[in-house]
Amino acid sequence: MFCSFAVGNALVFLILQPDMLPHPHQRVVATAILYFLYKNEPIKRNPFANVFLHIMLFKKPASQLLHSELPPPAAASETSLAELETAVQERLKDVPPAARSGVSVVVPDPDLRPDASGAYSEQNVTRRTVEGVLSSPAPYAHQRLAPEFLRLAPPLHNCIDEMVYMVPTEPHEHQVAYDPSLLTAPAGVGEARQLMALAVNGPLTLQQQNQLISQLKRDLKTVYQVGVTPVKLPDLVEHNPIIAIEVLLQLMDSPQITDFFNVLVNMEMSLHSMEVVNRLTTAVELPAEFVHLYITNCIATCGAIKDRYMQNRLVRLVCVFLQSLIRNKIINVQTILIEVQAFCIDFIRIREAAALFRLLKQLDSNEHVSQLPPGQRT
Amino acid sequence: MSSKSDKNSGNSDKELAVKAKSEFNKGNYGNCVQILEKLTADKSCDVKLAHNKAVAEFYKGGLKKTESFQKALKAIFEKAKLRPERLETLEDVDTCVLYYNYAVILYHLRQYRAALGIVSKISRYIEPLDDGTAKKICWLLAECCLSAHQPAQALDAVRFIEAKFVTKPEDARKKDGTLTSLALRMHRYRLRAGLQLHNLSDVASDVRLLADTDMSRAFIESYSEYLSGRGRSAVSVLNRVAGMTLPPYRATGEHVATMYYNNLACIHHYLNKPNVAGYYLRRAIAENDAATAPPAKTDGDRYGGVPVHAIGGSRHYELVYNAGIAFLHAGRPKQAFDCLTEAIQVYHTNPRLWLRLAECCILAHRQEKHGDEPGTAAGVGVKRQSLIQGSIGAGVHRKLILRATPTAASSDQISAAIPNPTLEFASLALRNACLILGEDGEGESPVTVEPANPVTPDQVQTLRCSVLSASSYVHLCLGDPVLALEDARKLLTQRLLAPAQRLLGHLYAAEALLLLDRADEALEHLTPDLSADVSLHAPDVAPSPVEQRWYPNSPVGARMCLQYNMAVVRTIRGELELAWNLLRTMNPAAPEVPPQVVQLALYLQLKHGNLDIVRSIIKQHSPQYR
Repeated sequence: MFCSFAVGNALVFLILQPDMLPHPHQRVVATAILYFLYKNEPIKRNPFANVFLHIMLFKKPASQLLHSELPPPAAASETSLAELETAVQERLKDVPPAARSGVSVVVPDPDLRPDASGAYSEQNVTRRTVEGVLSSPAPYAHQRLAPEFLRLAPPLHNCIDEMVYMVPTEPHEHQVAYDPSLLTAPAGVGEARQLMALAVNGPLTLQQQNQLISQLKRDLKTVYQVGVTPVKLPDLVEHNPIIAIEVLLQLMDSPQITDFFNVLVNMEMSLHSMEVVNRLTTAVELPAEFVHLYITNCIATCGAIKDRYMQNRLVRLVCVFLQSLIRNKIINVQTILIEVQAFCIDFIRIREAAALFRLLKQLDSNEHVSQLPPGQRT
Repeated sequence: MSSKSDKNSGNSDKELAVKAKSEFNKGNYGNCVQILEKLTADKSCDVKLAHNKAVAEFYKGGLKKTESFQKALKAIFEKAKLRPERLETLEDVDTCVLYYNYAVILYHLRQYRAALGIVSKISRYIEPLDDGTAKKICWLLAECCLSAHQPAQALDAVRFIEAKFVTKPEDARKKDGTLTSLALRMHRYRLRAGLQLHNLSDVASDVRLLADTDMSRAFIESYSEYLSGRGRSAVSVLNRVAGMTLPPYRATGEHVATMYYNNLACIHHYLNKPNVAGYYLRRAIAENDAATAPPAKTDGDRYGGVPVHAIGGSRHYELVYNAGIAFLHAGRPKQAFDCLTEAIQVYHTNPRLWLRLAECCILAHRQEKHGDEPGTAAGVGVKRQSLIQGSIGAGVHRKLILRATPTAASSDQISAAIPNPTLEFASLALRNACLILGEDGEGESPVTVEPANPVTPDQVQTLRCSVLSASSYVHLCLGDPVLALEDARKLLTQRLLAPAQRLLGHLYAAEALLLLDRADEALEHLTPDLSADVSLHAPDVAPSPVEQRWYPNSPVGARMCLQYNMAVVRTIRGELELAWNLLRTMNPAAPEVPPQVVQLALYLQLKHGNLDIVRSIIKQHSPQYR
């Protein structure tokens, strides 16, 4: 199949170059071969159909000759010529214009000087020319000259400081270190560490508490060396809230304190944890959002307790706690007003809640009053 | 010693510990190990004891048995039920030194980010530690920030050091007015961070605080001059190093000669002498290989039995990266490609490096197919190739064979993923770059261009533009107009687009549309006002000091390109007269006019069948075929 096409191509090329096939009957034969190469298929599927069209439409004498050569069913009548034409046009439409715009690279340039052919005979010259044009691997006959879009290459990427400029970094200055703290901690710290381990697991005796606290106060570095981590804080708060308070106060300036706050806010609310937070609020300035979050947690916990007795107790504690915060101006009432009011109303049956509610109302109206112009205040 | 032991064994243990520490500090590591072995510690300091024993052994071995030290550390971590790679296990200040030493080893193995993670966490716990250990931790923190290319964090670390250790004036300045070593070291870190951030005015004023004889001052100052664009001054400052006595490689872990030659290469690259740069880089690589060659006896240590600070001392991959860039700009794409494929194995998240690989492929392709002369940048060699391939036959049958139009690049059977400087590989490389870069404004994870200094978001954006234009070009060459059109369209919507790239975007879009049989739309892209400006960088972007010769380099040239391409579009649409009118005004002899003009003229005349005119054009431009 491929060979037929190659042969057909070669023949078409020859037909187009008038000097290659000087005799008319050669061209007729060539055209006939083109027809017979694909005679098993309908004529409009012949790849060289447009050659036939060209000849039929423009070269009348040749077409008459053809008529006599071809058997009658394949003879081209006027109507089927038009049919063939449309079929060929259809096929061409599928090929984009950019792809079918090539022309042959072979340009006739007759050298009309005498003796130009040299010693070769006419036939020899023709044959050598044909061979030269048609021989593989890349036959000139198949090459095309087409309009070529100018495709500019992009410039190299433009940037600064791309290369690595090296500067001394003195790697030998960073060396493995000996730990000088081996067995050199002051005696007090060792005992404090033991006491702290006990404190996390259960309540200490009064004497133990005092010993631990005095050690913490005596050597301010102790708090970092006794192995208290945020994870252990809830247990410490439950068993020994006083120690927890002391530890947190000492850790206030260190960057670890945020981790401790997070744990404190999220731990289960209890008498001890409130005590710790209360003490903290009176001793130092806590971050506002921490306090707010803690209050929200307390209120939520109160609502969730099932045991009536425990609930009442806790509510009372929360109210007292809130009252203390408000009276000491530790929190801005306005930020929690709505939450706390709702809480009070939920538990209005409890005396302390009612008292808190009244306190809130009083503060609120004071606020409003102070915002009215002087003449309207009652 | 033994007389006290039955009364109070705790005390004698403590004395032993003190003695061990002093032996260690005096450098008598053997004695230290012996004393530590006598200690019968209880459970509470088991870890510390084992740790100190390992450290003393390591020092006793001259810091060379790194592998066994690493194993010892791992065993200690396991015994203490801690995991160094899980940072949340670091809770107790007691284990700080253990984690610090683990980070030190990581640093020397060049795993900067991992080391930085650990040492950042440790630095929050340094209050109770003694000053010596605390300082070590802080210095390592600053160094890891810089090595991991996070200069802003490094500056924070330096400020932290200043706040903690410079509390009195005599901490900073000695009695004779010179700066203390602490202050000098802080300055050096501050300067290095300033260089990475390109705060050149700060660096220029602060560098004067260092001594003239200080070797690192010469490097830092020349770096600053280099970044400011003063290449000659940078060379003369750097040459001060030549007169200094340089510490040996094994002592410090860095080879000064390597760095010196490398830096000269960088400077000459900026002075537009890429071949000189290539030469210096070859020197640097040779010096580096000679210095870091492993010793004959390795003693079974997997890191070669060299002192721990020399394990990561080879700068091979950074040098090879620099060499690739120099060779690419010198117009040697194959050498550049070999270098950069070596570098990409280590720096495979650097999108700029992937782009450079693709640029090597593009340049190699152009040199092969279009015969661009080596030594010139792609695009300049729009070489005037001959019109004629040859002639066949003689006499009446003589035929002239014109040069044919090349078809789209055919893909070889070799897999495109094997590194070869082909356009298929370029396509893969550009896709990688695109994936890493993401879209403008998405900025979730910052783009790193290791091993170079960090880039700003604007620089990332210009990188995106370059990647898109290269990608569109490659797709056109590989015969894929759909993808080429997509990339060209995307390019034209980008921020910070250089005028030259806007021109390219329109040209590539026009060609793609033409191939997709949408010639009308193609014409819309070829408007003449595109040729007004052909600068290679966007208005607000600092241009690179490295010059390139690119075609077209003037508005006239750009207009000629556009006009020629318009003629091509008209030709393909069949409007041959209009095309001929456009061509007539272009003089092929002028340097800005692309030589393809003659080919198109020939084509038009062949279409008309005017063989005489065809022959006269040929004879005019190729006189040997008269």
